[in-house]
Amino acid sequence: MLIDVVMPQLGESVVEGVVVKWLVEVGELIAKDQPLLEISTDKVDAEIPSPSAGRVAQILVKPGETVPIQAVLARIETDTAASPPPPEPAPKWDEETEGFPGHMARTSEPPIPAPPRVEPSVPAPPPPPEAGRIRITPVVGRMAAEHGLDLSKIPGTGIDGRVTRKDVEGYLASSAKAPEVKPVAAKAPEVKPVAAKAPEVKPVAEKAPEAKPVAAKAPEARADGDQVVPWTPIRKKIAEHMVRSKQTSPHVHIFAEVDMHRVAGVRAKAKLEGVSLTYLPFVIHAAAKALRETPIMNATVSGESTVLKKDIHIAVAVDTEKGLLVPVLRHADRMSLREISSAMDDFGARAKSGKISPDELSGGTFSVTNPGIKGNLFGTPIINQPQVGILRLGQIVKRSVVVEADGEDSIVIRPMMYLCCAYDHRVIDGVAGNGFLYRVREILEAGDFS
Amino acid sequence: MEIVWLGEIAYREALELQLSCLDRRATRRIPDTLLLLTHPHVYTLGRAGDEANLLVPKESLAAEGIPVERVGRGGDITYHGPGQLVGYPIVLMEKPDIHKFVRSIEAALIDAVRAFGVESRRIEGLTGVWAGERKIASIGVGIRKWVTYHGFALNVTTDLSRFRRIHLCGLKGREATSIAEEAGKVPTMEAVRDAVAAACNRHLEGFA
Repeated sequence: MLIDVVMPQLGESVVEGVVVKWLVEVGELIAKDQPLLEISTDKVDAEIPSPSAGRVAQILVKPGETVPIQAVLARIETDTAASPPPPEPAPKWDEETEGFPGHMARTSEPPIPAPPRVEPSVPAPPPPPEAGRIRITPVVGRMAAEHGLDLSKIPGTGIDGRVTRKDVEGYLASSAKAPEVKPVAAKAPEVKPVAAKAPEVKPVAEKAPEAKPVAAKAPEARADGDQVVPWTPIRKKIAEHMVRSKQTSPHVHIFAEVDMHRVAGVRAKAKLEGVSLTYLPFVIHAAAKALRETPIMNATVSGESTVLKKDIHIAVAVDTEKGLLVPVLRHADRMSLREISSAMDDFGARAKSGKISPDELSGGTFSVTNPGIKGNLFGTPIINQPQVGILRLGQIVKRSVVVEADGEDSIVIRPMMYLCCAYDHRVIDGVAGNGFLYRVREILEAGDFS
Repeated sequence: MEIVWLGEIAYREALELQLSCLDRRATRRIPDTLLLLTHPHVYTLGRAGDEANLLVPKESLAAEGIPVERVGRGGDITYHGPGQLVGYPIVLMEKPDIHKFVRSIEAALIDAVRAFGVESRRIEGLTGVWAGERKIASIGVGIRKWVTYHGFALNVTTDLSRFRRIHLCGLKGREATSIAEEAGKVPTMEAVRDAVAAACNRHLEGFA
């Protein structure tokens, strides 16, 4: 019989772990409870013992991969009679391990939908519904979902021909067609499950059924080659937050077309002084200034009250190698342009080494999202609950525009950008929302960032 | 929980002792046990450890007779030495909840140092115990055969300059502190040991 070795549940709050290394090889004969591999989570390293004696039939996860609980890590053939002679599996403590947690064992299930099965001999907790069918890592699943990829089209170089992260990266690099379908606002909640839980939105959530199913229930017809990518916990959180935000806040999206030529001038000047600035700090700076003048935009919703926040803490979505992070610039209104810029650089650098503390990712009172050079003309972001507003940068494009100088119209070439502001119409009226965005534009066009 | 005071014991020797306790705990020949001890100077690197976080050459440490050991616990680099109380809980996890276990160690240490007038806390995402922004205790746990080993190191009167030779736990810019440093007076190792033993007894129950 083929037995799955699954990633055990290592605690209520533990949803995934990293495979550190394998202690056995495919084909190796093993004893029950013999350590098979080491996994690491938080500051704990754990050895996973074999659920059964037998032969290692398959190893499905490579060292370094992050796997969710209940994912199949390896398969063990318990019927070693069919294969070379079994060894004497007599580890010294084998006899006395009856009381050992046996929750690692689960018999093999057919790959795609299978009815829940009764465990053979082991009183294991019931696996989560999607368990055991995950044949790709969450990272790959996430990448596929984000880029809208059909994994069956990507040649896999991993174990058993599985598609690895490298394969996906290679595929993306080679096919420039990969559309950036990343939902912009998805950036915000990805690392902010805190916001999703914030008690501030509770009363509203109580009125609107909180647990409205996010996932489609009806089984749809599947063609051969369709890929089923179960949601990772992070994906699930994003999905829930997106649905909740859309259900909670009536979003109004307004746009401003901003002439960025003065900003470009300041950038060019800074460059001469050896300082490299992107456009983002300018927008953050302008937003912070405008927020100070429009307190209703710098607010959160708490029950049937609006909390006008004293401090301006701007959450900024940052794309990093490790995924999207939304560090919070505290007291952004008190920061100079260069301070904002270096704080962003610092976040970026530390995000790469994974050394941003969770404290730095919470407490935002307003969000700015910058999808970067492939961000397209404009987009309509989703509000990061319980905030009431979010600003999104569009692509900066040189365009011919009409300007008036000395009473005469002329056509000039200017770097133009669409700025989209989403605001929560429960709380913010059109006058305030429009006034805010208009002010952001004024500040950017005036080019005064002292 | 059985509590054993070992006095000063070399890192490797203590590790062997832990492993033999672990084997016996796995087969239920002994109850959950907490080994309390101090180590002579040593730098240890967890499996996730990066030698780049050691800021002085290994050779110069070797010249001083200070070993650098790579060990099978979680976490990055740390220092052990005189004045630091080290605890190795050998706890059988019937139903593993490793985060709860780590959080419980933190809770026990927060309780224990409070008795010496030091207020400390957890920082989410940064395992360990922190007095303000400075780390007073490091935690790194290993699990084998569903029994925990390795554990925690609490600075009592530790020579803190020893930590400046490393990026503590791989975190740049994070500093270490000690009970003596925070409280402004020097407690005895015995008093701290007893407080930690009592707190662990309270907090590390219920995993088996």
